[in-house]
Amino acid sequence: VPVPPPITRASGKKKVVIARYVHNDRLIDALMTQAFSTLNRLQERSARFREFDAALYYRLANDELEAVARELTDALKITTSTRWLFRLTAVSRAPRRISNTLAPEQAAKQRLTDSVTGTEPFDTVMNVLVRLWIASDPLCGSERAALYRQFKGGLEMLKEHLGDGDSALQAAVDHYEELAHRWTRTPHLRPTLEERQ
Amino acid sequence: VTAPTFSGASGNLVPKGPEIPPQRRRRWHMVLSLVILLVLSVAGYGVYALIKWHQEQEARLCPGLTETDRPEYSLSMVNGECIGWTIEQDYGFSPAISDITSKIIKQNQQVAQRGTRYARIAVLMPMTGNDTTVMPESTIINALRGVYTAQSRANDPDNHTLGSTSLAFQVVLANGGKAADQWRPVIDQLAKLTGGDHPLVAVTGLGSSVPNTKSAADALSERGIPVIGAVLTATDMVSKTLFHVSPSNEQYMAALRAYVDKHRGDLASGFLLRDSKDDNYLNTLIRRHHERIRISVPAGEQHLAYTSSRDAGIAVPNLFKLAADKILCTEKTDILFFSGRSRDLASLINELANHTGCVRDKPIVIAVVTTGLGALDTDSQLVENMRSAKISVINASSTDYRSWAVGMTV
Repeated sequence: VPVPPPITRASGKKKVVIARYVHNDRLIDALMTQAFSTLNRLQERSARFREFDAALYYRLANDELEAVARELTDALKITTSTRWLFRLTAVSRAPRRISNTLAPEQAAKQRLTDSVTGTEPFDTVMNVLVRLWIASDPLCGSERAALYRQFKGGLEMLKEHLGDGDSALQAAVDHYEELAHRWTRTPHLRPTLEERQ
Repeated sequence: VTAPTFSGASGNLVPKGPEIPPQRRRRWHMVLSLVILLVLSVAGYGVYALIKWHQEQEARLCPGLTETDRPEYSLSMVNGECIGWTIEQDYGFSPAISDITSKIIKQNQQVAQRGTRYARIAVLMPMTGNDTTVMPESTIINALRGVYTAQSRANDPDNHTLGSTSLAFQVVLANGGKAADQWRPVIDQLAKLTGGDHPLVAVTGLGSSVPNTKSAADALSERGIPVIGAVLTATDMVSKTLFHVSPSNEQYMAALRAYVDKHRGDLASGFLLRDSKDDNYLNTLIRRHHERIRISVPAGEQHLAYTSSRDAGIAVPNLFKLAADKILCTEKTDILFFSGRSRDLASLINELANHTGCVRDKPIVIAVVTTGLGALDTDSQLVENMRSAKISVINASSTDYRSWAVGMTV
């Protein structure tokens, strides 16, 4: 830390220096560099997160379900629960291919039967991803209620793997419970998949 | 050959032998030398021109290619960029996009091998970019990922998005240059693809509502090629064969105004923050903002201009500092009408959220027009900043997949 020059009180002078402005160019430069490099690092980090989310979104849109679930499983260990839940929600909005033959819940069951591995937490991540993905389809209809409940159950099972995230996870669980309740209460107001098609 | 010599003034011709006067001989030598020099010069220039032409041809070759024009591509170097189109030649344009372009090209090759009917759709846009170009690299990659997803679905014979049609599509990847200024030669080349068994039926991509896009749409219209502008919203982006798939700025602003008038009677004072750049999108948006603010928020005559950044990914120090001071401390605005590119929205929100110039407890509403919310959909930290600073956004948008995802309708 630079030391300011001493305050002088020279005798025989009319003006006495009792204070000085301290301005160290090198210190200022260093602080500015530090501040902006931190800002840039934060923005770069944020951009990397966004890029990763975008890549997973498009991979899911192209039916790379297992690969996306694997990435999300790996991310459980290295991201905060808030970030992980944000990522899961963003990725599961990927547009799904329209299935003309299977109802949403059946479609979810079929996808899960095809890809069960018997390893945790991968299977649970796959479970929550498939159910939220199908429920997020605008054409899903009133079967959302059941899918949201199953999704909520899967999230609770992931609690032990999301170390830091009790409050964020609980908020998500409450949110989807509320959505499930809303869809159960007023299913007649919501168009079904068949009606929308 | 020697010329005969003559003597005598009487006119009798008496040949005196093959002797040539030295003066004439010198002249012949000189003529001969000049002819040889000329021949050598011409030959030298010819060789030089040939080498030069060869060098130019080599300079026009894009890295990794041996020709500039083949049935599967037409690519050449212009100002250090590989400009043109490719259908079945796996050319990546830049390392960052080579993965996704390879997938599209592979799909094109499969379509050609399938033996069924197919047509071509060109995606004309910058294929290279960085933090300072019209389209940043991340935007280009995501646009191409969307193209690939759409192409895969359209070409899926088992689960065809378009119904029972068996018509397949090849995607023509057309690079219009990183500054989107090389579209003229590319459009000329694309026009040659409109005939044949697998014609080019439409061009999409093009980018946002800026003068270059309008000129490109006009040039394509002159050639009778349909153009689909995915994110064009400026009301003056009109051309004979140009189709919009997004609502116009006028419709967006009408929606904003209707919502504010109906649901937000509590918002008393408005402020217009506008991008000072001169392009079709901003000009029509600002014109609409001026018209609408007077009606919806009586005190909304206050405004301020700023110069936008190219890309939200770059830290632009203090871009909105002056605006934040004025909006939060001087005007104490209730609703801020943001008339700028959505890539600057995150910077604005962060500046308002972190502003320390004055104490403010009142919430602030930002009214924006976008085709999608971008950073707000993908940046959890930004959303957190908004919550803590009591900032909310009213967004008139083409899509609302947050609501769609939970089955909510307005």
